[in-house]
Parts: sequence; C-alpha cells; structure tokens
Amino acid sequence: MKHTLRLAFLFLFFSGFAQEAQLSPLTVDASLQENADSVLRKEILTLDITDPRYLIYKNYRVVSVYNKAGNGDVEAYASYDDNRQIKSIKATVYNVLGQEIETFKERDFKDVSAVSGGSLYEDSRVLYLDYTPISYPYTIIFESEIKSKTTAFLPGWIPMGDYESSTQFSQYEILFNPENKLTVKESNFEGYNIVRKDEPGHIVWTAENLKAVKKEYLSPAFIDHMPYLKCAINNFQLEGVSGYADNWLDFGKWMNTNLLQECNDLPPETISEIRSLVSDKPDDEARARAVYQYVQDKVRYISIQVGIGGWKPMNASEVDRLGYGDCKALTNYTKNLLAAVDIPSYYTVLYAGDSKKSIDEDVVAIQGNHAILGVDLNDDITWLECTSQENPFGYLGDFTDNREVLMITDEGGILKHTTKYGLQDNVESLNAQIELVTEGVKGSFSQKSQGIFYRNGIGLSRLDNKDLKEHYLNKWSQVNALRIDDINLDTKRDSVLCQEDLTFEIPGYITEINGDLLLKPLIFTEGSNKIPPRYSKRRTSFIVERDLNYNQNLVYTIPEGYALNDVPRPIELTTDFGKYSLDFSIDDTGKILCTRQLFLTAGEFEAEKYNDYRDFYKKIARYDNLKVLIKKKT
Amino acid sequence: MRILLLFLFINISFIYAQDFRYGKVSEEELSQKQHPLDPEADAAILYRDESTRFEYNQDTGFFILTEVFERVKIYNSEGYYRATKQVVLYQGNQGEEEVNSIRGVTYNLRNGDIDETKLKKDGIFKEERSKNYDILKFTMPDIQDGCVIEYKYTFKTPFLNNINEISLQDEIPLNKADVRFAVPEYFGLNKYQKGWLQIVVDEDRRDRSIPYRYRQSSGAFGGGDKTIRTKIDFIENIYKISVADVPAIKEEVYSGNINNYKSGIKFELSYTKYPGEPITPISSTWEDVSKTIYDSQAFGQELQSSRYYDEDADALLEGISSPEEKIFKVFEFVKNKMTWNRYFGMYTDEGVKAAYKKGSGNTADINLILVSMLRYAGIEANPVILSTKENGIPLFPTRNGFNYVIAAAELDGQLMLMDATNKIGEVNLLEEELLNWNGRLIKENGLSTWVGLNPKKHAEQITMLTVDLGETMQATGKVQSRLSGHKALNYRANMGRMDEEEKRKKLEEMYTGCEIYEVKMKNIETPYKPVAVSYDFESLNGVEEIDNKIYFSPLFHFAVAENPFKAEERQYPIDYTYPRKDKYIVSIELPEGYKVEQIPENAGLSLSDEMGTFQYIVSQVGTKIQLSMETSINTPLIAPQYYQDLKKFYDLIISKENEKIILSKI
Repeated sequence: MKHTLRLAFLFLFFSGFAQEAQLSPLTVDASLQENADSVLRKEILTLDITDPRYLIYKNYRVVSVYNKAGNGDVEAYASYDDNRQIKSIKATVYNVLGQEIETFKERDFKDVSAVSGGSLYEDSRVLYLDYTPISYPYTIIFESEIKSKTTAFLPGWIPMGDYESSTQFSQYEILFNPENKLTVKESNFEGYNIVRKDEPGHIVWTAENLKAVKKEYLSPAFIDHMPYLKCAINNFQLEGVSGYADNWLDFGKWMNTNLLQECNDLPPETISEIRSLVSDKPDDEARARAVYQYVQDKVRYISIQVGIGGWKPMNASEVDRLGYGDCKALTNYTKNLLAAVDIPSYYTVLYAGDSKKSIDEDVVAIQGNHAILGVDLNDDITWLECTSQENPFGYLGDFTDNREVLMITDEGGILKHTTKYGLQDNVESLNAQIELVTEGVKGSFSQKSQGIFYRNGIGLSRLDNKDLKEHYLNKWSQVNALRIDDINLDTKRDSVLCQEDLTFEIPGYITEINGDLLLKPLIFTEGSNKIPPRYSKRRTSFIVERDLNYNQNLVYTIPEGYALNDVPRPIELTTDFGKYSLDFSIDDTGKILCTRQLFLTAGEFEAEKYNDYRDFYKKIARYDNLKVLIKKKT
Repeated sequence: MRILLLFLFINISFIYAQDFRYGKVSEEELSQKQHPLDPEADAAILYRDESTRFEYNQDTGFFILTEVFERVKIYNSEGYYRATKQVVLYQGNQGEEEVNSIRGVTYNLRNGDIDETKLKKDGIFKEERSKNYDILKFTMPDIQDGCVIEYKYTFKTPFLNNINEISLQDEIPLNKADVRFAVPEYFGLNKYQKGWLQIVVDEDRRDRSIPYRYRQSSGAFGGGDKTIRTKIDFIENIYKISVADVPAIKEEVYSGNINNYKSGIKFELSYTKYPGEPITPISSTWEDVSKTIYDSQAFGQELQSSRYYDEDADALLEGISSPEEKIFKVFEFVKNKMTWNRYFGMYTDEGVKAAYKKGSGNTADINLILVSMLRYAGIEANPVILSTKENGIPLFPTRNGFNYVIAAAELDGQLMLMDATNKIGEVNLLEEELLNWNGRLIKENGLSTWVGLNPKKHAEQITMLTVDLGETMQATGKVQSRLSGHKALNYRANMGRMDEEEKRKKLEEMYTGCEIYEVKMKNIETPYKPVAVSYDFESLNGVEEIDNKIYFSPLFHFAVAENPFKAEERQYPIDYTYPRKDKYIVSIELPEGYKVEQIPENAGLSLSDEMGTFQYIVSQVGTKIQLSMETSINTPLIAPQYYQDLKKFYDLIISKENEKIILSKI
C-alpha cells in the first residue's frame, strides 16, 4: 500500500474538517493498516438484560475497508424472527475523504430468508445491506438495535473481529440486574490493550489498537487464541421459555423439563415393534446395536427450524410417522426407542465440526450446534451419531470426536468427553503386490482404513462403480496412464474397518536405461507427503488436529535375469511432529520388500517450529520420490 | 379360439402394462431392486405427466395452469434427495406464480403389503426468499430404500411470455413421460426442441369454452344491474409428447454447461390474436426477439439520452480525433467510473442515469452507458446480447435465452467487443463465462445479426527457463514468462491484488516441488500489455543421483503431471473456449565433470486436422542442453469422437515431459 502518497494527500485536504478526517480511512495509524483488509474504527456493543425476559442489543460500528477482501468485515446485517425484533437499522457510507456518499434506511436493506445450507426450512430472516463499493478505501457506519426474547445465550465479544482485520477501538457494555448473577469468561486477554470497568449492574470493557493477524496454514481457530469474552446469566429466557440455572446440573434439569421431556411420546405400536425386534438379542449392547440399525434404516436427516423448534426436538411420534428429522429430533427418537427396551441413554449437545471445539465449562448457557446420543452401556458411554445412515455403532469420526460435550441426564447436565482417536486407532495400512512387466508395473492393492480414516470409506461407499474408478484416478492423478480394475470396497461396520481392494496397471511406469530398469517404488503416497506452504516469517502457532498412522508394505516381483544390487539404506526420521521410516530388503525369492511408515503427532506447535515442520515434509517428499535401479544381470 | 386369444392378450398386458394413474403403484415397482437399464441409478422417474392449459380470469386475464404428476422410485439413500421437491415462484408487477393442490404419498413394501404414508401440511413449506422469489418446498414422509413416491400439484403463472422449458431428461433415468400443452387459438406458439432425443409432437384440436359474465344495465328506470352469464367458444390447439426410457444425463469435465445437451422442449408465444383484433407478434425469429428487446424501455430507450454524461464525455474526448483512441478512452473511462454490483441482466436495473450518478449498476446499466457514450463520440457502436455459460447456449429465439449485454464498436470492418463491468478486461478480451458461442448484435434500426464471441487468437504463455545444476546437484534457475490473452487475464484475476509474499506462495502452490524467490510481475494490474513473470527457483526433488548418475527432467516443475481426461468414454464435446499455446525454451548448464549419457528423443505429435499439436526438440550444444517445446490446442471445441485421441495425446505429452536426461561422470 502506498501510504506515503496517501498521507501527504490527506494533510493537504484535511485541516479543519475534523469529522470528515475522523471518518477517512486514511487517518488510521499505519501500523493498524498492516496486514489488514479492514479496520474496525469504532465499535460499541451494548447488551441490556436488566429485564431477563429480553435482550436489548445495540450495535454501533464504524469500519474502514481497504480492499475487496475487507467487504465481509462490514457485517451490516441483522437477523430476525418471531421472537427477535429489529428495532432500528441504518448505515451510512463515506468516501476516502470521509465525506458522506450514501445513506441507507431500514427499507433500503434487503429482506431475505436466512435458511442455512443443509436446512429445508427455517423461520429466521435477515436484513442485510447490499452495497457495491464504488472505490476503495471507504468507511461505513452501521447501527442496529435488536430486542430478543432469548437471553439463554448472549452475544459475546471478539474485539479483533477476524483475521486480516485490525481494531482501533471496541467497547462491550453489559447492563444487568445484580440480583441475576452474571458469569463472565475472559479468554486470551493477556498482552492486549483491554480495560475493564466494573460498577454494580454495569460492566464496560474497552479494547484499543489491536493489530491485524494474517491467517496461515494450520492456524488455530481465531477465537481460540484471540481475545474472546463470553457471558451468561442465571435467570434467562429462551424464545419466551424462562429458566434458571447456576450450574450445569441445574441447566441440564431445566433443559430436560422444558425442552426434552414432552417429546417422549413414542407410539405404543412402535414400542412393541422395537421390543419384539430386540427380544432375541443376548445383551444390552446387541439390543442397542439393533435399535441403532432400526433408526438408520428408518429415518433420514431433514432440518426444519421454527421458533422454539430451533432448540427443542420434534416429538418422537412425529419422527416415527414422517421418517425424518434433524439432529435433535433423531437423537431424541433414538433415545426413546432405547428407553423402550430399557437401555438408558442421554441427549447430548456439542459443537460439531472437524476442527475441535468444546462446550465451555465456565459459561452455563445454551451452547453447541449439534446433538448426539450417549448410551449407557457396560458402565461406559457409547456415542451414537443419529443423523447418519452409514456410521457404525459407536463411531463418531472427526465431526464430533475428542471434545467436551454436555450430556442431559434425568439428574441434570453433566460434562463429558467424546471418544479420542489416537495413533493406535487412526491407521491406514496398505499392502501391495507389484510385478514388473515390460516397461511398466501391474499389481494388486489392498488398503485397510481405521479410526478417523474410516470416514473416507463412508464417502466412497456412496459412489457408484464408475465414480469410484474416477475417484482413484483423481487420487493418484500424478500417476500417468494408470489403469484400475476389480475395485472392491468393503466398509465393515461391525469392526469399523474399511477395506479397499483393486488391481492396477501402469504402462510406461518404468524407464529402461541401457537395459537396466529405473523404478520409483512408492507409487501411492498422495496426501501424506504434501509440503506445507512456505512463509518468509511464520507468525501464528499451528495445530495438527489428530495423530495419524500410515504404513505401506510393497512387495515387488522383478523379472528373471534382473537384480537390485544397491539396496537403499534404511531411512529414519524422528521429529516432534512425527516419525518416518523407509526400509528396503530382498527376500529369499529375490522379491524387493519396501516398507514405509509415517506417524504424525497431534499438538499445537509454536510458530518458530514451523520451518522444522516443513523440513520434515520436504524430507518425506524427497524420500518418497526415491528411485532404484534394477540391473540386468551380466 | 377368440377367447383364448383375448385371454392371452389380457395376460400379456397384465404383465407389461403399468398403471400410471395416481395411487396405482404396483408391487412390481416397489419390489424392484435396481433400474433395469441403469443398474447404478440411485433413483428413477417411473412416470411424469405434465399437462398445461390456459385459463381465463375476468379481472386479470389469461393465465397458465400446469398440472404436474410424478412417480419416482428411490433405490437407495443416495436417491433420497429426490424425496424433496422445490419450486421457485416468481412475483412481479403482473402478478405472482403459485403452487396449489399439493398431494403426495409414499409407498413402502412391508411384509408383502403396500404401506402408504400421506404427505401432510407439516411436510410443506414456503420460504419467502426475497422480494421477488418464494420457494415452495415439500418433503415426502417415510422414505426407505426401495420406496416409491408420488406427488402432484398445480403450478399457476400469469407470465404468459415466460413459459418454463419442459424437461424430458434428468440426472436420473426417466422411464416414461407424457406432456400435454393446450393453447387457445388466440395464441400463436413456437416449439423448440433440444438434446439428442427424438421428440415427436402430436397435434390435435378441440372445441372449448370458457364461462364469461358481464353486467348489464337492466333498463332506464333504475332496475339495477343484471349479471349476464354466457360463455366464449374457441378452438384449443393441443400438443402431445410422449417419451420413454430416457437415460440419465451425466456431467463431464470441460463440457461447459451440461444443460445445453439435456433433452427438452420449450413452448413460447409468438403472437396474440384476440377476436376482432389484429395479430400482435411477440417473438418468433431471432430478428423479432432482438427487436423486442431493443424496443424495451430498459434497453433501447436507455441509449437515447446523453445529457447525464455529456460534460464528462466532452472533457474526456477533447482534442482526440482518432476513432481508435476514442474507443479506448471511453471504454477505460466507463470501466473506471462504474463498479458492477454483481447482478446480471440485459435490462437496466437502476436506469443508466441513476447508475451513472451512483457509480454502480448491473451489467446492462454499465454496458449501455458504454454503448451510448461510444455513439456520442461518433463511433459506430451497438449492444450485443448474449447468454453466459451458466445460463446455457441460447438454442431457440426466446428473450429469456439471453441474460447479459456487452458493447461492440465497429472500426474498419472489425468488431471490438467490450465489457466494462470487468475492471481488468480489455477490448476483445471478455471473461470466459461470457464466451458462450454467439451473441446477437442489435443495431439502432432494430436489425440484428450474430457475432462470434470466442477469440480466434491463441492465448499464449512463453517461458524461458535457465537452469544451473551446480556442484551440489541442487538445480537452481531463473524463469521468465510472458502471458497473453486469457492466460494473462487469468493471472490478473488471480494475482492482481496479491502482495509479493502471496504471489510467491501462489506460484509455489501452482508448481509443486520447488521453492521460489524474487518474484517479479509486470503489467499484472495493467491490461493490454502481456503479463511478464520472473522468478528464481530451487528445485526440491528435480535432480536425483542414482548409482553415480544424475537424472532429471529438463522441464523441472513445469512438467505436466496430470491428464485432465480420466473417464474412459465421452459423450459431449470438449470445450476449451479459446485456442491456447504453451511454449518453453530451456537451457541447462551441465555441471563440471559430467557428460550426457542419455537424452530424450525429439518428438512431434498432432491430432487430426491439427486440432492440437506438440513439439519437443532437445539437443546438446557445448556444455548446455537446450530444449524447445510447444503444446497448442488450436480448435477450441473438439467433437467427442476425438476423445480417445485427445486422451492419448495428453498421455504422450506427459510421459515425454517427464522423460529424464541422464548424466554420468566423465
């Protein structure tokens, strides 16, 4: 960015126009513009919950946008529904000199439905500003006021907004009744210029001059390492239903009484059907498996969110009749079926997604975006994903694994941790028998995937034969002229193991040099050796989410009259990020055995370690590319 | 004997005929495990019936009513999405579209009995998407593998000029479809067919009447008005189409918009002739369509005024006499002055004046300003309407076939096409999305003609690569590339706004296996000049030492690794959109103490009619290895019968590009 020129320009024109100068994007300190597509010039968020039945939420924000990528940081929108009213909304746009160019009143905002992806229907709507910036930079002032009948969760405060955005000034103010206990959780405030001022029933936080951070490969989720404030009150209201809770136990009780209990209305015919279905099963686990299978065969996922239905499951009887529902409905339905055969199970809420997020223990409030079922089996909890028609019994995968969740029992809410898949579980192991033929190779490929890797198999099982073939050709797109046949995919649900078998042929894979054969033995290493992007200076720490274990055993049969004289030396790399080994040997029959092992270790690593991490992959890529020369015997 | 024959006949028909009436789902249909012609199908349309007729409302006039009935078989969970139906409903000044009388049943075979579950109100939703659009959705209950669903509804539209295309092919097999389209004699009709399917239209006519009432004063003495009930008789023309066993249509790479190939039929009104009135043509030929568009308020009218910009234009054009310079000046002016609001359209939205004042508008707002201003500058300029790739090729003369307008200036018999919505665009360099066959140029007098949109000139990338193998056998080198045409445009679009670090990262992403330094890009934000890219690189795995010998591919990270064509067969043409050429000139300095042991052979390849060519020439000159390689695709649209050749063409290029040079110690 050409600051010098712009600043000179600024001083020429701005003396005397204080208001305009303030709004001009050029008056922002250069250090805040660095790495920033936008700067939050001023933000004032006010939450008034003195009456716990209502949240009055005022949002005033001034944003300067420097380029196209910053348009998303304007956030000039407000959502509404029957229980959430927009009292006022407006916006004004200012040009580079801070002069007003356009104003928008409520009627100028676009009014559209806010049905999120994957949902069939939701009753929420959104008013948003459909503004086309005519030049950059520009500044926008957005103001809104909302009155909502929900205080069971409250808008939090993320003074930094997002990656690639700086904040000049942000204030978060909360007005509450001191008799209604307010819980506040401040995360990652250290090292930032944030001031808190307490008065009875009134707390104000202000943050100043927070510099933009660029998102990098494997950066942690923004709110996991940036200042984040969450709060909750004891006496709350959810879409007009009131509640009180000081701890998770009470909160769970409230949920059970108000949101779950009345949905337990499974019809008697279904109860007797499910009872007879499991009557010949030897134990609770077998009965629970049969019930889960029954659910998977019968229902499908359809999301419909209307009013309190956004929080409360659809009745079990309705799911029974319609054969569909969302995560809440299907979890509750499965719970009811299990109850019918006397197996206790618990409705459980959590944050789903492959980047892990836990229920925050310190903030007793509505949290989470998904529901699963915890089944009480053999003094342990078995987790069931009820929206999937393909998951094996007890299998979570990377969508819901290894995180804190809230389980609702009859006694109340209990925090639990879901299954962690470790190095022993996440195994992808390949065995291949490969034969060298004229200028090429052919062979059989057999791969077993377990733990987190099993999920890939679920995806593959949905493909028909033609698409499955294309999947492999794309997966190994670097292998020219590859031919694939005899594909056999077996997702063994009982043992949570996916087995892929196929035969392949690669004409031209071998280069003949003066009668000798040049071969790259590791054919199938896609994905596990991708070199991470290079940064001149890495700034954020990086996260490897899961332990992974890849191993390959390749057996090469070579033609009569040839031999591998120079067996490559074994290679072993050990780092903080994992281990790699590559080993060659020749058996009695003259076959070449090639063994590759790669363990990756989960963890959060310092930014300074990034180059070592990248070096590890550079080496892996180099070793994976190793070639051997199979010589003609003389 | 007669009886026997009859019996036989009945028996046969019992086996083969299916009952396609609503509610008459058979056990055979339910027990079917896979589609007999397409075993991979996840679902199939067993039967579709679409019956359209015109009705009359005394207050609002004619409207169109379509009764839709579908019976769908769902084989497995991948076909469950078919159990949810969505209908987009438009509402405008003339009224709104509606869906009514929705009924549906899901049939399952349970223990040999047919179990029915009805669609109820709780499965029907209406989403008010925006001011102009609602979406009617319903989802069927009790969906199990193997179930059959049936649903029917009526679709009502007051928009006589916008009759939806009737689809006769789908992403799943279509076993049988009956279409009936009935139209009163007052309306002339055009029928357009697309796709490979043989469609036979049976025509028929019958007498029909519509009840009609009017009020009549009953006399001079205040007896009040009297309602007279009568009817209007007219002839109804009926068109019937039946198709059977239409296979599913499937996506392929480089095929453009698959809808272009999907079989279907479209009816469009060509004229109205109400009793006692003359014929009013609506649109029937490309000429008519173009003229109708031109005559619209939000199109041709918008080209009339120049008052809103004349001062700006006068200042801009002062002292300029060369027409070419005028065109460039005006184009650049409008491009910079106006920002596109991302809305498509061939009709103005804000209106040119308001858009000009605001500095933003839709495609028509912006490009009609451009046409008008070019004319003001004394240039022969006209609008060209076209259809984006997403919108499909305009196969029939209908107004709705187009969704975009650009400007064309004519100079010395040459057309200069311009789209001022794209800030990095050039004259005759339109975004790929717009390069969809032909556009229709409309002149001031309403006359129109086709103009080709696809560029004739190759988009080129010429790369010079100098490599030093050095003593450490780590290949380092310099790259200098020049890009023109769409290759330059793509670079601008991708990297124009990136800082140095981001550009470097992007290049390392594009060319794996090397680290890149000192990236310089020239003209990356300035159109009209070729983009020049230069950088230093260090190859990570490009050089290997095996058995005291050195192996490397002379193209290093530029060697193409992947064949874009993986499918074994191909049904649709391969659409490259524009001709393209990649040229490499490589020079490699040999390390001291080594000699060339093996060098790849020279090669040349050509697809028939030179649709694609490849040339590879390598040689040793002193201590240098020199390679010249050129790949070009000369025909942007290649017919599917050449697919196997093309696939092989890529295979050979890839293996050639990855061939190794071998060095050994002297």
